[in-house]
Amino acid sequence: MLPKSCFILLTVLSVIAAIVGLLVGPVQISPVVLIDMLFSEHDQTRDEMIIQVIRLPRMLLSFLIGSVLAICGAVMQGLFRNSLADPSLIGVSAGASAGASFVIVFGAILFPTSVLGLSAVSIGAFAGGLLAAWVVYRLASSSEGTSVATMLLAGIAISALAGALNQLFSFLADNDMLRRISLWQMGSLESADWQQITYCALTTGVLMILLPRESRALNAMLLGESEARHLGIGVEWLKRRLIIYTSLGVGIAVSVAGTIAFVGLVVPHLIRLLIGPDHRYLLPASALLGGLLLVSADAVARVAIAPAELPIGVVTALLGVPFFISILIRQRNRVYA
Amino acid sequence: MLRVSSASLSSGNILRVKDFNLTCEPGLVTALLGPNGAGKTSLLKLLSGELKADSGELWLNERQIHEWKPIERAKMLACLPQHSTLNFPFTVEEVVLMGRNPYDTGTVNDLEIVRQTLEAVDSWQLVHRNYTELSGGEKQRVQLARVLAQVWQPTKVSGENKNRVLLLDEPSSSLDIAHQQLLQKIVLSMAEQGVVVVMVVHDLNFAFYCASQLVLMSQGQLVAQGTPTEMMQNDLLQTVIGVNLEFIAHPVTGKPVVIFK
Repeated sequence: MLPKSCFILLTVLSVIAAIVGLLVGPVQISPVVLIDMLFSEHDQTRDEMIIQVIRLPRMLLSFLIGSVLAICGAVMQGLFRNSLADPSLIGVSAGASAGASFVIVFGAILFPTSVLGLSAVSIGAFAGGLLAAWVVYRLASSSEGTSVATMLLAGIAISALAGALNQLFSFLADNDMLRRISLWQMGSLESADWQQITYCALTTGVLMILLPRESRALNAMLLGESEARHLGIGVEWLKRRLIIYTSLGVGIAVSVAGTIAFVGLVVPHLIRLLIGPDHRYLLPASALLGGLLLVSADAVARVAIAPAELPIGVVTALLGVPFFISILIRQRNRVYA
Repeated sequence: MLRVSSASLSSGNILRVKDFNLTCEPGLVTALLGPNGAGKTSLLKLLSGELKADSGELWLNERQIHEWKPIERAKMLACLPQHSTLNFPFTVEEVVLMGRNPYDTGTVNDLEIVRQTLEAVDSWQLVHRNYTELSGGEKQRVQLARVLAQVWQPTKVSGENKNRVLLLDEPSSSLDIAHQQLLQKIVLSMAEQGVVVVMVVHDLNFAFYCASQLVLMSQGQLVAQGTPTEMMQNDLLQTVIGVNLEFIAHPVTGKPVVIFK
């Protein structure tokens, strides 16, 4: 598929998903209301309130988070030269979970409930995620540079450590805290508000400007680190920048919505199957598909067991895994046919 | 020009390169010979600037190699590594185009260079193929085209003409005989254009045919150095390589050919 037609397709699908996302839920809303909202002035009806206060922020937030997770996943896969890499590899997700649990358990004594409109849990998660990524990065770096292979191992080690801390906090927690911890880990967009959207939009916006500028360097990195160096790329600085960008991106996403696995792994993979591995197209297309996927998953999460709601992380995994496996099988059959 | 003066390199407790001196002039082909583990690849990594010498100096044109910015260095020096690890499904065209990464010469010009280099390595027919699905020898030819594309045209850094350097680490290891001969032609024609060529080879006939300077290495040290005629008479070659050699004149061309006893 040509990159251009892929972009058009993804954009069209995103718009459709966004509209459907606004209309479906425990309360089904007719498309007429949406048109009404845009083109006529009158008092707000109940349906319009639902769209404006609940669904619109939520839809925007899920799009932003899906985009940022997917683009960070694509960058990580390029950096590690492995299409199985995902943003959680450098410890961000596990660190964020531990940070969130820590605040949930000890938060009442230690912290104010919110700062600058962000909940203390979000801030704890963000700090935990960045701390973990920083430790992983330090472990893998020596005077000779950063070893990507060591980073992978350090990421596993630190993730295990953060996982253990997480369990320790869960062990110390009471029933109510325990429930909050496990709900947080399943990921949720329920609490979407304009403050969160602003933070996410800023991060996503900055990353969408900065990351595509590294496309050519990322392409060269796929040849190998020394090959990239011979092609005139300052590999050490590149690695440093990319790790900082992705930690920030994933840190923000995780702190706002909890751990949403899978998007960062699968989306770049799918895009590569559609239009090839060139990062100049891969990065923006991944961002689009990531957003599209999460908006759709969120709609399913709201409708599936309405009026109750599934955690979004559960939906992405339940829908995504079989789909991903079917692609793997098809690919395997093609290779060995 | 490429010059090494008393360079040493160690990794861990192992001395890879010891007090090495070598000058490679533009237009000349230098072949590095020696048994496995002699330090040929390490020396090549010093020459390419990938590794930094513990002591000694490495000069690329009029500056030490690490004083050039990465992008400037990339415009003068290209390096073909022993193995390629690319396992993402780029097309052959995209892979070779990456050789133009250091330049802003425009897509039209770059694609023309891709065509020329792929034709030079007899791989133009592969241009739209998926790199990961190629055979080992085809991959090596494509990587060679990518490296050639990087130094295909005379190069300028900050407005001044510079000598180009081409480093090849066992470039013929996966090639069939026809393509090995093609590679010899390419190496010689690059040298004719004034490129400094340094290559690691195990095929002595390849080395004696192409190189104007043969460098024999053992345990990180330079053991012997000279023109093919000089090296033919040097017994150290047999000792270090560890086989008994004879040189005979080729019945048609009259050039020296190595045979093994």
